[in-house]
Amino acid sequence: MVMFQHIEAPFAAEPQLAAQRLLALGAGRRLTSRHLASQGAGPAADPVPLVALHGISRNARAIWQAFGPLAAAEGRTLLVPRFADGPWPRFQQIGRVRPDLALLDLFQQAGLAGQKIDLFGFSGGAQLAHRFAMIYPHRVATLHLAAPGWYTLPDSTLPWPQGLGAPASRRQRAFDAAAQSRLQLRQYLSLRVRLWVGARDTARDASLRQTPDLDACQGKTRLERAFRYAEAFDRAARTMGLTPDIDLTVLHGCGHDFTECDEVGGLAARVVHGG
Amino acid sequence: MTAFTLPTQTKWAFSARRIPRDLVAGLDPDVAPARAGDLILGRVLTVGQHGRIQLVEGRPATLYPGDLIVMPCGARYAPDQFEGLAEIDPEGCDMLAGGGCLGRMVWRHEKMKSPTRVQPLGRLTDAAGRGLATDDFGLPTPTQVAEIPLIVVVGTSMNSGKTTATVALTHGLTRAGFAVAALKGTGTGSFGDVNDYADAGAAFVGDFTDAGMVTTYLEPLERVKAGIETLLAAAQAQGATVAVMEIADGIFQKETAALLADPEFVARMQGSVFACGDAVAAAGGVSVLAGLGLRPLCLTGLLSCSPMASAEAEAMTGVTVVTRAGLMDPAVASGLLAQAQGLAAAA
Repeated sequence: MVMFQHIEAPFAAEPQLAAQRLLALGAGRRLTSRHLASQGAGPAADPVPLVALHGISRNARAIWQAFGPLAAAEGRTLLVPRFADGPWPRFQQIGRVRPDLALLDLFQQAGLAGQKIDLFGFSGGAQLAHRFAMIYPHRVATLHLAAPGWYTLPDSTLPWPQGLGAPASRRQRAFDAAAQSRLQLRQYLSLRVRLWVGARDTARDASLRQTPDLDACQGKTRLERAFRYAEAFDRAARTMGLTPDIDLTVLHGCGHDFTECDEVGGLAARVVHGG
Repeated sequence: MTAFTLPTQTKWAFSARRIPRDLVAGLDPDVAPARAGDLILGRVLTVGQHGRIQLVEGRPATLYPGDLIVMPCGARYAPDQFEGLAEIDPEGCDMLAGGGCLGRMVWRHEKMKSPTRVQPLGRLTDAAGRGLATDDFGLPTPTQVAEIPLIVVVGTSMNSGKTTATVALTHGLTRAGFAVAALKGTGTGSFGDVNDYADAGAAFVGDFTDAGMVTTYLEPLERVKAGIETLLAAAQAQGATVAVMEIADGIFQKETAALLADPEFVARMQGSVFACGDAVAAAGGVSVLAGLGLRPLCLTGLLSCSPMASAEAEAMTGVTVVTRAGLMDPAVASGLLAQAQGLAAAA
């Protein structure tokens, strides 16, 4: 693995802070990431590293600018990878393409090989975040899912990727993420999960997956789907005899826009401070 | 015992690596009472099957007639090579393993040459005249029972793919973020396995030689189990969060069979992986394990190289076949561990 440094412009509010760049490899594909190494100077004795994933607009810079100063103040390690569209045309799902391997390598490069992380994702990043956590629940302390378009439900009666049943398409079986997720389901449902969605995130825009099955099962908007997911998670956990630790926060005045969710809804601060 | 200085060119075997060389101060020429673990100084008479010795420095060294070597006395069970006993004939003994094991050969595989013959010169002692033996230099006996999860790798016989599976699973779990202890619970001391485990990224590497045994063949079951507990405790103390342990030879081998039939040992492990060469071996192995109340998490080994053999095995046993690449996949490795922990919790 190769690691290199590139100094990026410092945060305006924290002029002494600058990003390192890390390069990770996953199944031969490159993944770059901004990296803020823990300074250990925050209020917590052993702050949990935070990994924040962008959505399909791939605007990692906005994520970095929102979370960076907050993470620095907490003395937390922060990783903000950017899935370039060349090698990662569809980074939201784990199957034939393996963004999970790149993330694991990224953690290794950042010195987080054995550590749990707080994992945040916005929109498409939240899709990847929860699918990653379903396979590697042991790596996640708190899972923050902000406005994913749709979810993989903890339900083995639905085919992957809508649920954890066998995939309908043989092509998707090169790596059987559904089978691995089923093996880890109990641990996944034991995670601390925080859901975030804008109160105005109700548009049926082109970036929202819309099929009759999905609409019927998960709802027609991201707002509705967040509520349905919280219910499904809660139900699945209780069926396994677990006490779910899942909470849904509706961000008032916010639509499907990360910057708006942060500036109006205070999303980054709420995530950094534990949800 | 006579005062003695070990010549610097003496080739010191890997299996005696825990004994500091500078403790050698005497030589007792009476070798007949030697037992497993006693350190023997010998001179190579003829070079046979083992043309090289695995040195304590971690490299193999070519042997020549006349070479001085230090190896422990030990027994060996290796169906593809030799069976031998921990007996030293003053007139000449046999090199039973390249990692360092001197004894008397009983049987050899048809493809094996005669063993390398060694003239024993004496048992090495310290300055007080005490015989130097591996059992005095093992890791300390643990004061607490280790609790890290344990996955055991067993197979049909030598060369069925157990080491490959152990290494691959170690690598996969390491990539997934676990601190893995890669252990060899039984067998014959050899740096090949230990080096392979380390190369896979294991956070802790150990074998029964770290618990004071040259080999585990003909050792009492309680001692073998105590050795395994010693390794697990040392691994946990050094931060390991999960252990993958290879058990040598096949499931019919004496110590392996005894371990798998031991309720305490079975209760200690969270799951097993079975390595074999073909579908019939898979069916037989799964059936034997079922008789012991065990069901492997997966099948692997040479079998997994053939999609057709794998399909046959899965159809006959209902147990999934996982390739080496699969075991190296962090998602698959994590899933196997979760499966093991789930089954253990249910039990």
